[in-house]
Amino acid sequence: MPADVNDRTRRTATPPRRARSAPDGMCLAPADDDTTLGACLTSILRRALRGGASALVLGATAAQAADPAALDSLKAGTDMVWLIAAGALVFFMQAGFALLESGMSRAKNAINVIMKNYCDMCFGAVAFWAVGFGLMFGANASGWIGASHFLPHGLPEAEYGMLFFQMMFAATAATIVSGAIAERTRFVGYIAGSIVITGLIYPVFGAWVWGSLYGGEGWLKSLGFIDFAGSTVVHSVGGWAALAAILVVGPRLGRFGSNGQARPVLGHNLTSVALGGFILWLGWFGFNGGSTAAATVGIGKIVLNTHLAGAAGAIGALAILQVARQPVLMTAAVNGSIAGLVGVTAGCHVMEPAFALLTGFVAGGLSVIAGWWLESRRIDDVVGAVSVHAVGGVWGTLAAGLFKADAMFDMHQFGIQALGCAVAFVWAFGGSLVIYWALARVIGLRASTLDEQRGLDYTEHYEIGYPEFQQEAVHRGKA
Amino acid sequence: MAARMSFPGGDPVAARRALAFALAEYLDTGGVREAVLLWAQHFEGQGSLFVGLSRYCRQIAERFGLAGREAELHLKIFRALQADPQQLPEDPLSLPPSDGLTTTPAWLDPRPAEAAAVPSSGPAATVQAGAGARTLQAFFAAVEEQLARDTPPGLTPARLRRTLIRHAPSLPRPQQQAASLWWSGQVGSLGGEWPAGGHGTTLVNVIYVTLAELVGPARADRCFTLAVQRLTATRDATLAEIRRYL
Repeated sequence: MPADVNDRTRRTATPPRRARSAPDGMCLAPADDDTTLGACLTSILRRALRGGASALVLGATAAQAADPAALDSLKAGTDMVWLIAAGALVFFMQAGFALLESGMSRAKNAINVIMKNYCDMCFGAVAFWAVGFGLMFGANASGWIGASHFLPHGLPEAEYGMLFFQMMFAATAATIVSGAIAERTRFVGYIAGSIVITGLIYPVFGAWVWGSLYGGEGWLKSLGFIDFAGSTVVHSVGGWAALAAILVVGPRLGRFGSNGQARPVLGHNLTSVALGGFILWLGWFGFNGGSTAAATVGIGKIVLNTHLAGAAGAIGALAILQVARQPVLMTAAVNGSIAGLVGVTAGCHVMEPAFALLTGFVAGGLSVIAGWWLESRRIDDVVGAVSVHAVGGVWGTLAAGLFKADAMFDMHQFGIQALGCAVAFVWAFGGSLVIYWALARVIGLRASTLDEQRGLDYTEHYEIGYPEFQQEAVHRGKA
Repeated sequence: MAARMSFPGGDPVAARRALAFALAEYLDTGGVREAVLLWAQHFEGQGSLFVGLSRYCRQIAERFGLAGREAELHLKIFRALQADPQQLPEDPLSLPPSDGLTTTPAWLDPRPAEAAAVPSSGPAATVQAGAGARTLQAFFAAVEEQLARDTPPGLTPARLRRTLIRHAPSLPRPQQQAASLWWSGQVGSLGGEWPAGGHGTTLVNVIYVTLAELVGPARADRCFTLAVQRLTATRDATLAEIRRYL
C-alpha cells in the first residue's frame, strides 16, 4: 500500500474523478493513479443514460449510479474487495514461505519450519493489531513513531480492510527470518523474536516510510523516499533481521569444516521448494497490486512489472551460474525469481516494464553472488533469506530511484533511496541483533546438539513430518 | 607464570600431549604411555591442571627410577605446558598400539566384550562391559565401518578418536574418562553403566557431534542411519536397543 495510505483514506471521503472514456465505450486508464474501477463503471453508466438506453432495463441502476453517494459507495466497495483479495493473496504467501523453507530443510526439521511459519503469522497478527499498527500508522506528529490506535477497535468500517492488509505485510517481514535460522533454533525463542519484529522492528521503520493514516508524516516519506510496496520496509527489514539472527544463533552443527569449507546440507523436498516459489510469486501479485489500496487501473502495469521482474530474476540467477560454470540449480532459479520480485516491489508503480525487467535480472544475479559471499563468511543461511530479501531489497530500492519513469537516473532521488536503505540496515539489523542477543540469554535460541541430532520436529513438537517414510529414522528418540 | 598458560587445565588432551613431550626425555615410548595413563586415571579432572602435579612427579620418579629428579620433572612439565602446541607430540592415549581399529568389529566378535579387547600395554585393559555398553560399542563399530566405506580424505580412525576424546568433556567426569580410555585404545571395551536417556544418549550425541564436525551434518545423518539399520538387522535384541539411545 503503502503507496500512499493517506490517499486511500482521502478517497473514501471525496467523489471520484471522472475517467476519460473512449468513443467505443472502452474505459481508458487516465494518467493519474486515482482513477478507479468504480469511476470507470460510473462513466459507462452515464454514457448509457445519455445514449437513451432503455429506462426499463437501466432505470433503477442508472438512477442509483447517478447519485454521487451511491457512486462513492460503489467505489469504496470495489476498492475494499480488491484490498481484501490482495490481502488474502499476501496471506497465501505464508504457505509459499512454509513450503519453500521446509523443503530446503532436512526431513527431520520439516514440521518445525512449518510450525514457525504458521505461528509467527498467528502471534504476529496479534502483536501487530495490539501494538504494531499504532506504532506504524497512528498519529505521527514527530515523523518518527505513531502514537495512537493501539489495540484498534471501534474504527470506521472502511479502515479495517487496511488493518487486515497491513497485518499480512507484517507477518511477511517476520517470517523471512524463520528460513534463515532453520534447523537449529528453538521454537519459543524464535516466536518471541518474531513478536518483537512484528510489534516493534517492522512498524517503527514502516512509520518512517509509510506513516501515517492519522496525522503527521514519516520522516523518510517527507524526504521523498520511494518504496511502493516494501522492498525495504518489508523485505530488507526482514532480511537484516534474519542476518542478525543468524549471527546470534550460529551455523548448524558441522555446516563448515575446520578450514572454513562449506558443507552442503541438501533440502529434503525440492518439489515443495518449487511449489513454494510458485505460491510466493502468485502472492506477490497481491503484495504489489494490493499496495495501490484501491482498485485502480494502474494495477495492470504494477502486476505486469512484478511478473517480468520475477521471470528476469530467475534468468539473472541462472546466467550468473552459467558464467561461473556452476550447475543451474533449481533452488537458485527459485531464489532468483523471488529476489527479482523483491527488487521490483519498491518501484513497480513508477518503472516502465523494460526497467522492471532489468531490476529483476540484476536482483536475481545478485542473490547468487551474495549467497556465495555469505557462505564464504561462514554465515549459514539455510534458504538464502539474506541474499534474496536484504540484498534484493536494497538493490530494488536503489533501482526505484534510478529507473523512475518521469525522472530517470535522478541522483538526488538515488541519494534519498540510499539513505533509506542505510537507515533500514542500522535500525533492523542493529535492533534485531540486540533483541536476538537478549533472547539467546534470557529464553535461549540455540537448540542443543542432541536436538540437532534428533531433529527439531521430534524435540520441539514430538511430531514427525512423514510418519510412514520416517519409521526407520534414527535421529530421534522414538523406539 | 601460570597466568600465561594457554590451557589452564581445561583440555585434557593438551595436557597429555605436554606430559608426553616432557617425559620423552626420561622414558621410552611404552614408559611415556604408561606415565600418561597414570595421569589420566588418577590426576586428570582433579580441578586445575596444576593441582597434584607435584604428587604426580613423585609417583613417576618412584615408579621409573627417577628419584631425586622430581623438581626437574616438575619444571620440564611446566615448560611443556607453555610450549607451542604444534611442537607437542600426539596424545599417546589417542594412538592405539595398532593405530586404530581391530580388524573384526567388537560387536561381531563372538567372544565376550572384555575378551575381545584391543591388546593394550595399559594396566586397565580389562573392563567389564554392561548391556548398554555392549550396545554402544556395537554402534560405534558400525559407525566406524560405515565411515571406512565412505571416508572423506584426511579422516583416519586415529583422527576420529582424537576428536571424540576432545568432545568427551560433555560427559560427566567418570564417563568421560571411561570413554576416553576406550576410544584411545587403552581398554578394549567401554566400562561403566550407560543407560539410555542418560549417559548413553549423551555418548551417542558426542559421536554425532564429532561426525558432524568431521564429515558434515548430512554425512553424519547418513552414517547414523546406516549404522542403526545394521545393528537392527542383526536381530540381536540387545543391539536393537540402540534406538532407545537416539
